[in-house]
Amino acid sequence: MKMQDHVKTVLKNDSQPDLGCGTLVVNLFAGLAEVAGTRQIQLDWKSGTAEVLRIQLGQICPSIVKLLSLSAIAIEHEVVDDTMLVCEGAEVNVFPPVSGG
Amino acid sequence: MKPFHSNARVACVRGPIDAVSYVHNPVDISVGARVLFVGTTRGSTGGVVTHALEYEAHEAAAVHHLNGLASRALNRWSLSECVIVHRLGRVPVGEASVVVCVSAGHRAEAFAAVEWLMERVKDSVPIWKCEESSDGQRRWIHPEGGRMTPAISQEEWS
Repeated sequence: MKMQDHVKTVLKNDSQPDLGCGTLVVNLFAGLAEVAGTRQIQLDWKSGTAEVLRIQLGQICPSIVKLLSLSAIAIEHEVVDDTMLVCEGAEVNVFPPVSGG
Repeated sequence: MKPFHSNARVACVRGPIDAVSYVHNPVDISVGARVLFVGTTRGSTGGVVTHALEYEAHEAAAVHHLNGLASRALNRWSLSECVIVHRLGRVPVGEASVVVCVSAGHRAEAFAAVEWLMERVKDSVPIWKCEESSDGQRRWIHPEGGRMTPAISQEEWS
């Protein structure tokens, strides 16, 4: 996957990077992480809706667009509506369709 | 947020699950039925031979959502106890990936609760399985019905 220059990817999921102001770390899981080629995408972010975040993630990483459209955006544990505001520094998780059991 | 029910016991584990260990004599004498469900790795799906399944989760979120499901089932079917244990990592064919154990007054409630819980474990908990076929191919399973939705309102909880 080719990433734009301003986007830094962090391959380790167990340590949060030292964040400056206006950044957002988005965690990817399962097939979404596989398609993206990374478990985390870090992007410049002030504030915007989950829908705007979805669009930006797709622009940064076009390979995930299809699966991203089927995925849920969560702030920490809870899935949020696309109209919900996502603030910088929030723990953002993108959950692709689940398949436990 | 509504606190989880005190009789809910949930966990994500990384080793084999001893399913029978979750069935014990209930303290509550109103219990007349205990149902234990054990989900195991099947050796083939749709003609494709499966070597193992590998489960990944957002573990803290998975435990949170499993607690929510167990609490809802406890309230809805007036259960005495509800246990959900999900294994993560590689689960070879024949081994347990998930165990659900409930205690109720009567078997109808116990069976209904387990059926409902398993449906919800499959469609509303951030856990994912990857099928590893006998030829070494790996495939993440992301079913159409598996898109998680925003949390239900407090009114719908019980």
